[in-house]
Amino acid sequence: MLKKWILLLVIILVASLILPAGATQYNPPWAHNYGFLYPDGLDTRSHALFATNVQDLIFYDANYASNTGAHSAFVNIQDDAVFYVNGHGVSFIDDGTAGGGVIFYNGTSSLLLAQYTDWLPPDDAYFLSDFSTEINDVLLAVYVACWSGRTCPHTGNLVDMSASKGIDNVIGFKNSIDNVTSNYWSDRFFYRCKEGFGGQHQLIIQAATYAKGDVLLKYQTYGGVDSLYGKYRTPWGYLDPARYGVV
Amino acid sequence: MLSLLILAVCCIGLSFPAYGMSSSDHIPNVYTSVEEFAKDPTIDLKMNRNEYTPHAVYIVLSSANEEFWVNEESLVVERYSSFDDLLSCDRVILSKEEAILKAKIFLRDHGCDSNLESFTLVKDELNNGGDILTYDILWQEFIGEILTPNFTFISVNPNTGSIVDYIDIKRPITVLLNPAISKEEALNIAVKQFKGIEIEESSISPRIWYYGENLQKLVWDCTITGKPKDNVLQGGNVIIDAVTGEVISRSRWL
Repeated sequence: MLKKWILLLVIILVASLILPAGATQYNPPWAHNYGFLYPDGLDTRSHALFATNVQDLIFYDANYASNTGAHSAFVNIQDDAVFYVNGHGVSFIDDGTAGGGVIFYNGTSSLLLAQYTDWLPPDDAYFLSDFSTEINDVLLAVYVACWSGRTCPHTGNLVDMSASKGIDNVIGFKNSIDNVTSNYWSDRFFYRCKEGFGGQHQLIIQAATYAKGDVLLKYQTYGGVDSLYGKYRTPWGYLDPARYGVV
Repeated sequence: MLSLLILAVCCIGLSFPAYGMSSSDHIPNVYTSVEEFAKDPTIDLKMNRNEYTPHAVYIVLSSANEEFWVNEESLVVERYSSFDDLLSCDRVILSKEEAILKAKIFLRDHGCDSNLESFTLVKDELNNGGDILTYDILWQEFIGEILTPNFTFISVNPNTGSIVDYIDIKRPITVLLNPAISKEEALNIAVKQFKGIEIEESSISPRIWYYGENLQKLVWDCTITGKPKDNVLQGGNVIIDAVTGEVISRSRWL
């Protein structure tokens, strides 16, 4: 009897070493969408809500999170199938570099960054580089923020880091973007994901790209969204049916 | 009695909707426009939806993997997208010059190259979108210094030379082109929209802007960029009515 218990314990210990850590896959799959009303008046909340509503319609358990701190995002992304944030990117006054992060705001600022190199942030900061396998089942991450697809010497590259951690489809922007055109891109992206081609869904890669043309057609300017930078898993996929990504 | 009867018939006739060019009469012409654009009278098309922009309402038709946006009023195909052609945009085989040539041939073959005589090439570059690479070519129309809403855009697959996305807008200009507010006055107005920022860069140019359904305005388009504060880029874009000085639109950098 004792031998059986010891054997069972050994099996459990070995399994815990082999099996990937942490992430929970909920049914329906989770999605979190972050928008903010910043002290400078920038308000991205309605577009996070729009993303949430589209995801709900295609049967994700989609959550709209307004004015939330980066810690919540850092915890939630581990169980998310879809992660969306619309907010300020990170730039540095000293050397003019920028990128590698998004600024969350819930009364105080906190940061979601790609990686730590040589900059100790003054606010709470959380690094995607700290993950091992926890986010390798995220299907889609969208960072609507200035320079979210640019490599910064101080903070890394959010898109590249996300892709390296196993997120299937990651979208960011290499340059600064203005909120009017980028918000329109965001709404059009999710619309196209759901029904952009003849009332049917479009591939994520197509929805992201052709939404840029939607911006140009409406505004006769890109406002920076032509700097879209994306990494997509092949074979290319759709946002629906609601599911987690490929581990 | 007869006159009353005639009067009644006339009243009934006036109360019925007029059977002129109804939207259903329009539809065969929309299909014809796309068939002519695609140079394929047998193309299998489905009507999907309408799309609304400040400068046009579009009727959108699709084939197996293409989409055609037809201007509801002019029946001109003003946007063409080839969705499957995007999926091979993963390597660069063509040079930029070859891509521009492909674009011009496309425009010529679809009878859309006349605009290029008066438009200015403002963008011709390989766009590195990560896993998607495209040559993005943009011609815009200027009247003197004033940027009009009219442009031709073509996105070329750098691997195959096929056209991935095409947009062509040509609208008559319906506003006077003399600003009452000077460039300097407009810039001052724009700067005031971003209080407390330390300006690093600013630019201002006149343009014709659609501010409502088919309504044009002459505006000053101002871009203000300030030094970051708490790691947040300051500034944004301000659109100012060039006649009244009213701020029509303000956006911030994310």
